[in-house]
Amino acid sequence: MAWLHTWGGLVFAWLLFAIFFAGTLAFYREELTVWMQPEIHRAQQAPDNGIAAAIRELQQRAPNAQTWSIIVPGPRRQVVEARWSNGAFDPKAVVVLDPKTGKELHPRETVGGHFFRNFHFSLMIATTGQWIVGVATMMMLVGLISGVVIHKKIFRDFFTFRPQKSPPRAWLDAHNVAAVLALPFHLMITYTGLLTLMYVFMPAGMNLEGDGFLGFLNQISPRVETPAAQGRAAPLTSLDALMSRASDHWDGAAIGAIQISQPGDAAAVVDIVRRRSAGFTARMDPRLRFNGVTAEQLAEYRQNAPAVSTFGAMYGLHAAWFADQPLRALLFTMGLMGSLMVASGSLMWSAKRREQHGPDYAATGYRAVEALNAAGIAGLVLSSAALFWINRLLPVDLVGRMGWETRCFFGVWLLCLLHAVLRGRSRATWREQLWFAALLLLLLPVLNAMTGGLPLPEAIATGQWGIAGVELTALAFAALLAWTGWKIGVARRSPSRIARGTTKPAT
Amino acid sequence: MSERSRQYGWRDRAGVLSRLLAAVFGGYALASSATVFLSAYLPLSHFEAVLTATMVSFLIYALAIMWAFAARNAWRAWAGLMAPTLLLTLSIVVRRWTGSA
Repeated sequence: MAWLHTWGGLVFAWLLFAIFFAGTLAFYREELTVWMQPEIHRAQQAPDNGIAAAIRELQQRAPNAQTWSIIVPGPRRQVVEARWSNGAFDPKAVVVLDPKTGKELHPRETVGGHFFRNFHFSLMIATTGQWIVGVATMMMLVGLISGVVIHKKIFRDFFTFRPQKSPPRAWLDAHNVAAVLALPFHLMITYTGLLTLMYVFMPAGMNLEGDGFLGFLNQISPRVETPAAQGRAAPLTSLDALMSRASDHWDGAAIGAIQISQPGDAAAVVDIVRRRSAGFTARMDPRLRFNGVTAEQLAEYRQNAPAVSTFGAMYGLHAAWFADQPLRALLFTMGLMGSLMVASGSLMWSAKRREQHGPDYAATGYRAVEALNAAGIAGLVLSSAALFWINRLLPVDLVGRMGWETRCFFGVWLLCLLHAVLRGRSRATWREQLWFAALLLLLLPVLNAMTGGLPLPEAIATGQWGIAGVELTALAFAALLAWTGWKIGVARRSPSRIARGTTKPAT
Repeated sequence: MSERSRQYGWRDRAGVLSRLLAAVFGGYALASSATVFLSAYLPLSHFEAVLTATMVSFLIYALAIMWAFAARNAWRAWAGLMAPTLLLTLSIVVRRWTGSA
């Protein structure tokens, strides 16, 4: 049992750190994706959002397509994206344009910021990973609720290390501050996290009538049908007018996308889709349907059932769909505090054992655990920093580029593990990996400017805060990691109280 | 940890293991059957009932896990989880048989 608890708890800490850290970065997945596509850094906004240019491209490339979709540029991604389809989804049937010049851009294929989101909930091992993450999340929820309910008894026994007996008291303080301050956030993010994958974890209700998850999804999303073509040509009505009518209908909400079915035909309809950030939604964003020729309003598709809105709100809270910049920054900070809570907790784990075993410590197996700790936590931070370098250094036209980015990410992580095992001394491992991560992040703005991205001063001067924000955050992280690495070095050099025998080993 | 755990005999260990199994599997059984029950009986449209029941199920699971460790002994932990699970399942089976599903 002790074996199970000790090792299970430790693996659980590595898992939680990975989930927390990657999930925190994923709050800025759009901004990270834009940063990872330097080809679109210089796109400029236009009064019509580049809609006219998009329609022109679609008319040229796919005049007979069944549907055209246009992703309207927003504050987080400033290019206009036009897709066409004849039923089946074709990832190649897309053109990305600069809204102002209307020129085609060729953003590189990249896993983007979405990598962190996918890693965060599946560990990149599909359903197995989702279950592992789900079990960890459930344990966390139980820990949080029971921690609140029976606060001063069992929970404290489990998680308190007496500070006067623990030399690295700072880790304990950091652990407690990070845990308690962000408690409401932890409860919210843990519970809503379970809800985002509830169809995997709790399918019983959805299977009740034998229709499973897909049938269930169909029930909660209003059916949007594509009209059949009439075979008579007719000019498309003005999309600008439809967009402003739709926006007025939603009290000035921004437009996220336009979908045109049977373009150029007399049967054409135009769906204007509300931007997701503009409100709570579940699976499908509200859309207004207009006649594509006469501009008459035909229908509004939305789902107003309270349970669906609640689910949408929960999902939206977890993924920060609706968050504006200050709230997003707050969620990001809370996520970082969660990561810090787990990291400092696992450092305490080692510190406690170092103290218990005193001079015999080197003979115990805990040294190996410390190496794994370093690789699991510092190594993940380092490979995440490396992902941005991989993104820029892999050839742009590499076949299967996204797969290679992912493989290189895990390759770097594996090297971190190798380094930790070979290095042996865990403090040195921590320090070296954190410092190397700091170096990678410190040089990120230089790499960006050298590989075709918008240089940091220019990004700031032109108010491109998405791109500038990624690099300023990278610099702040570099400072933080360098400082942490330095602190770990200092702690090692200071004379140990255990070595002098002034502290009794804890029991 | 090692000194402290030596005070416990195999009975205590078996009790904890039993509670752990009750929490993980018994708790899931309870949460799952409660989801089906609420999906069937909540006075809402079908998909709303399913959605509400599924969202609530994780809180039920969390409370069930806490019960498994709060109960006075492992037997009570199991009984407290399995009795409602059986009742809930029975109500669904009856509903299926009477054809009102």
